[in-house]
Amino acid sequence: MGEREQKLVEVVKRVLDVKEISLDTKKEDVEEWDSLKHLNLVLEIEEEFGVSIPLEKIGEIETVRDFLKFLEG
Amino acid sequence: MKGQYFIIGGGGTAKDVVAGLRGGDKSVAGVIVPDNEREQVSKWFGGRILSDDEFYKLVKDNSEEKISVVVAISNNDIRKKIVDNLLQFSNIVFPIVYLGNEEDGVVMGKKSLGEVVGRGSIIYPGVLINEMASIGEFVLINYGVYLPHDVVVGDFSVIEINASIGGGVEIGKKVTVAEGSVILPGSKIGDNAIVGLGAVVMRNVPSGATVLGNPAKVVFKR
Repeated sequence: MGEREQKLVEVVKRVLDVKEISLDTKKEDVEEWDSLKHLNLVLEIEEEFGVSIPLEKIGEIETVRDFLKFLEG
Repeated sequence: MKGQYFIIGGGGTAKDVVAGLRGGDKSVAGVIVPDNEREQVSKWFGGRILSDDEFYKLVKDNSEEKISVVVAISNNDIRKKIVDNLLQFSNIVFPIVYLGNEEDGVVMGKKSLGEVVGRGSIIYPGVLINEMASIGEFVLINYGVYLPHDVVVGDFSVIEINASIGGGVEIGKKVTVAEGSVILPGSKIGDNAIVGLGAVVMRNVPSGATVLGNPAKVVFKR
């Protein structure tokens, strides 16, 4: 896992306050990952990585890995 | 214990209900919270504070008496869980609670509030309901909401401050319509959906979805 992936996982752990998180963690498997936390994740990842995730894409994010495509480029 | 209300919950909604009842002619018999919230509640409520167990004992000891309960918790899932548990006690009743001074003028038309709104619902001041609307049980309608003709609101839903709801809008069960959102006439909002802060809903919202933005889009689904 690269530096960026590791940082992403750390951000998700911190925002959800859940220890067991990997790139393949699905939102439906984490009780704490509710709609408000989902938006907090988006805002936090946008800030940490200096990116912008379009509103219409937010609903398509199902796993931690799904955030990666917004961090490239 | 006639005219006296037991309030369940120690958060913001409970504060609103206690304040609203104080302003009217009804009195608060006690507030029921878990032990770890007792100290916090004692800071703003000078009356009787009971734990769940103490309250259940009171309900059983007074089984011949009707006991009025207001479940003042804005989280729809928790509110439903508590109500489901309280339904085992046949002497508990759930009045509709209007938090303003005068119930007159809340319903536009000839019907009374009780003919338009289901039991256990909490209606804030500044709410206006067309008599051709139909509001379910244990619903919270917050300040500044107008519910026009043919609107349906399902049980255990909450409509927050200044939500703007069009005619004929059908809102399912356990739905949250957040502050300042706008729902276009005729839209349907599925059960357990959340219409986020300031969202402008232009079409139907599926069950379990959270929508946000203008025009509102699904940002989360469970």
